[in-house]
Amino acid sequence: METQEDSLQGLRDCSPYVKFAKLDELLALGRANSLWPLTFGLACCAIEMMAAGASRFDLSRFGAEVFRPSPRQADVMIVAGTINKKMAMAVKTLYDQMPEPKWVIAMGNCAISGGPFVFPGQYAVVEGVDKLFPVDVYIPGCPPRPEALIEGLLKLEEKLTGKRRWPIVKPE
Amino acid sequence: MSASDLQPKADLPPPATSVAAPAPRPAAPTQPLPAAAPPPPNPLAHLPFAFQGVDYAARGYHCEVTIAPDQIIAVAESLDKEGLALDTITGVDWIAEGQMEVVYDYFHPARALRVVVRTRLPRDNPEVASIHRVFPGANWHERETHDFFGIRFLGHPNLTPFLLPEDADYHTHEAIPPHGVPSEMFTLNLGPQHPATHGVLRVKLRMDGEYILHAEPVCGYIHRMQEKMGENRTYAQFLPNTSRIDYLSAMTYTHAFVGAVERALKLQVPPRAEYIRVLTSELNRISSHLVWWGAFLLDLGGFTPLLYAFDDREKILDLLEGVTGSRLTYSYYRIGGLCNDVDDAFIKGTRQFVAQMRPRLKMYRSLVTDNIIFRKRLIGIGPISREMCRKYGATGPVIRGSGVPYDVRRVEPYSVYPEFDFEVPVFGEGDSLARYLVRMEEMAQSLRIIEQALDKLPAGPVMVEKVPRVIKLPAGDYCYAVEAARGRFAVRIVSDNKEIPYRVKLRTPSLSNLSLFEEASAGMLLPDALALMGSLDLVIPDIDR
Repeated sequence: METQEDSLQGLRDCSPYVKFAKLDELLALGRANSLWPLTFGLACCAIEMMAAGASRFDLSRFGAEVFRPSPRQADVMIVAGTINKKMAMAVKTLYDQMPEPKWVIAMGNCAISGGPFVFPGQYAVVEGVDKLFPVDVYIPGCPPRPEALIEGLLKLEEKLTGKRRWPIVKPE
Repeated sequence: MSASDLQPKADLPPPATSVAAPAPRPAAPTQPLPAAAPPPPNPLAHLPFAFQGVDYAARGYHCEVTIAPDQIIAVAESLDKEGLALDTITGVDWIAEGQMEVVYDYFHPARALRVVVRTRLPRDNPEVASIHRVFPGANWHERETHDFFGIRFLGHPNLTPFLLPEDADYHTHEAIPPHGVPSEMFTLNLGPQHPATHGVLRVKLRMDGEYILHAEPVCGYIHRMQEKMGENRTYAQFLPNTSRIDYLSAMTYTHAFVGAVERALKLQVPPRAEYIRVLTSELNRISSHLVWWGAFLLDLGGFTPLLYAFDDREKILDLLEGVTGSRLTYSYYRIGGLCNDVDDAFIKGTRQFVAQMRPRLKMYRSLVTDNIIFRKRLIGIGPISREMCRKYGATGPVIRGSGVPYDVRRVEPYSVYPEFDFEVPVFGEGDSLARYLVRMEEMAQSLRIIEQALDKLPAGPVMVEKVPRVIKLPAGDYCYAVEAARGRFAVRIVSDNKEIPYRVKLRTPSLSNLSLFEEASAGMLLPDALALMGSLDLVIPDIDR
């Protein structure tokens, strides 16, 4: 009767001919390299998101320029703008409609915590998108620069693959 | 049921072979049925209504009567006493006669007795009493009949859509096709998440195929309580809010607010600050129009102009970032002047920008504006008349594309605009191409203003010497209007002599411009309506504030 030890020894004997790697790592690399964002610009941050997708900052370098209007085809929901209580149900529906695996980036102060629109007695703003569903990356700013959005995407890639694949540029 | 009952109603004359008696039948006393001899027995002859016996083998029921609508409950009650049960309620739409018939079928649970009670109603105002108190089962039948025919059952406790969606505001007999083909009416929801609505706008569309019957915009999905915050912030603390109302044209919005405060406090802003305000406002106008241009063409299906537009825009943003520190939501103006002065790099950079922007505008003209496919998408699409603009309060390129030369910089001059030589472009056709051309020409005129401002820029301070440490406006209300990229933006501050305004009202151009969409888009094809909406140049937080 073959024991587990025998099987493992058999695998080790094959190693000059057969290489093993974790499929997860391969899949994570594929997913990180081609994150497809959902076009979910709500307010001012949407313009900086569009600028990040335009020629100068170019999300296409990171595989993320294919903004999908339909949540069924998107991997990552970049919540760019203020979530209103009237809009909250629609946001949740869109999140639920995205197939797994999915991630959420909260871009801008409004998506992180309600932003500049929180004051005592405020009636219309949901104070942060993480009140509705879990967020993977937070990008502060009002609005954050396109470079900050790109850094947020790289942080998400780091979360997916476990290592940061692009160098951090230090100012001189 | 015969085969003719299964075809769409609108194509046929009133079916002559329905379950009912031969047509036409007046609402008044029945005509005697052509019966075989002997006449069929009338089991309800003892009731005070004019029941007639019917040949069951021929018609499928034993007894019928046609009565006036106000006797419906009385008949129901007497049939209830006889021990009958309600089988169903049927509505029939006699279009040619201008009447609707309601047919009540009753049956006896214990013996063979089927009774039909009919009544006729005028087609344009069909109302009859509900019999739900006598037969609670009538509740659903009446709701269904209401769904199908719009017949109102008076006294019904819950006459809401039963088979149709809860928010249906139509009845299914109204299927009059506009083009002679069977109608495909449905309700389509556009937004609030949609690539072409420029933000979180929802439009409820009643469609007939590709044609819009009725479009109802629903706003409020990005309502951020700007006016309420005006009551919770001091005058200086409200400045960042002003940039975020219409973030594409942020400088002009801040200008309106500080202008209102300066007007109330009678502050004389130094000329250098005024010139720089005009300079930066016009740069902002160009960058706003560039975003509009790229997004508009994206809606029409062309992706490339967006990239060119954002490329030009980045140059403007670099200039403004060097001066204000921010790319999009500048809070550059202060009450009494500016936050800081501009430097030589800005002046040199702006001159370079103007020099390279003019050939770019020429290129856009030849590649896009003169493009035949583009022109065919826009010429004649979404005509808006001067009257419609006036009635809805539309301003900006919308009203200037309909032939009215209304520009706040000319009509209610503010700041130092009277010292500049520029034209206000006006095109008279009122279609989407006219509004497009207004904005393209405005970009060229803004370049002229910027050049003149650079040439004439006076030296001096950029801030009033004595701005009160605590800003309190005297009691009363103060208005200030500017020509923002989208139209007339006006601020009204109501003050009760405290540090915090009593009320801040923001009159935004996109709200008035969108309000005419419902009327203007009726009967249009959906892609054309989206072209119209793009040509209105909306920023949704400008509507919702």
